[in-house]
Amino acid sequence: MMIKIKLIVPKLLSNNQSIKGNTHVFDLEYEQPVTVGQVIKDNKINMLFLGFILLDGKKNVNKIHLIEQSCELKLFIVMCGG
Amino acid sequence: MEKNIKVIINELNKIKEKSINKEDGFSVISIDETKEIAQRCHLSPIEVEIAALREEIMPQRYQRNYNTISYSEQIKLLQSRVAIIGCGGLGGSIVELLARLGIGKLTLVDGDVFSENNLNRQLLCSEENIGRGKTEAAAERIKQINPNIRTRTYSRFIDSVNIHEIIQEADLAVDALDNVSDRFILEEACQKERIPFIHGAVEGLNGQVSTIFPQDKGLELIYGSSKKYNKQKKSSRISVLSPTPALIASFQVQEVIKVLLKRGTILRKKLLFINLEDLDINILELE
Repeated sequence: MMIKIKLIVPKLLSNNQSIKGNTHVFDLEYEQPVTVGQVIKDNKINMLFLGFILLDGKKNVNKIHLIEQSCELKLFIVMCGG
Repeated sequence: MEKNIKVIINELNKIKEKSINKEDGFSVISIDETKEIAQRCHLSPIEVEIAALREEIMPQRYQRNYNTISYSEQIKLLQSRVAIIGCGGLGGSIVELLARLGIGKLTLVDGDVFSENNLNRQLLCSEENIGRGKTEAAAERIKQINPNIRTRTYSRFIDSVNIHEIIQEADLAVDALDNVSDRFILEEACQKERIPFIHGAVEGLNGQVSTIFPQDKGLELIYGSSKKYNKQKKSSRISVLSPTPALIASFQVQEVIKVLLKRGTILRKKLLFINLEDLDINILELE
């Protein structure tokens, strides 16, 4: 069964700086369970500014979390400015 | 002193009779009346304001706080000291809001001077101010709004030694810093001094706020290990647009009110994360 992952990436974390708007949504499909870290790696996310990773709008997960079913992953940037 | 109290109460009662609004029974005292009584009784204007509030006479400058903030709560704010660590984007707006709210004592900290690239977002920065110390500008702004507020300024950057002196006597601190390593220094000091602090940070059109008490894990849950962060040189490409610090500063000040007055729902063990462009608002649990 295909695992569908909706990956929501703030522009700052995306390598594609030409995208319009503040966020970029990737609709991904994996044939087998995959770690959050692998999804991030596959989509060339800029790790330098990566903060929280929110699973299905509720739970903070880390890169070793194994995704076994379809879900939404939302990435947040680390904020430093004042 | 007892004689003084009698004189003040007598004066305040006269004001009460004169200013009472027959419809709602509301009495106010003006800035000039406050100054006059203060001078006559050898007191500070804030002491007169506090005496008036005890008699249920509202200083006119706080009249529009009333009903949201009670007489006793306004007294509490006037007696409080808040330390604002950083007087740039967030700090400039925080200073303005806290001064108008009626926090009686403010500690202002920043070792920086204004530069041209601050003009897009920092409330206290103007062309005339370029090259001027941020704390100096903040103190001047407070004086314009309310000269009775007692300010203490530290025109230097914080470090693990000076921070203890800076936050001493403060009821709470507000994090308006621009780097993570200094935030960890502030957190450690607040833990030692046993005071809460209100964390805020901004980037582009994104901002975040959290209220951290001394016994909470706090920043570690937001940023991970402090060891990851060195005091880096700021990248000239990092952006912050003017609405972001104004909004996040407002949330931080709202947290200050709630913590000082022990009311409402505070963002403790929670991180409010706002993306202004997409109107995406998340409250993340910090556990």
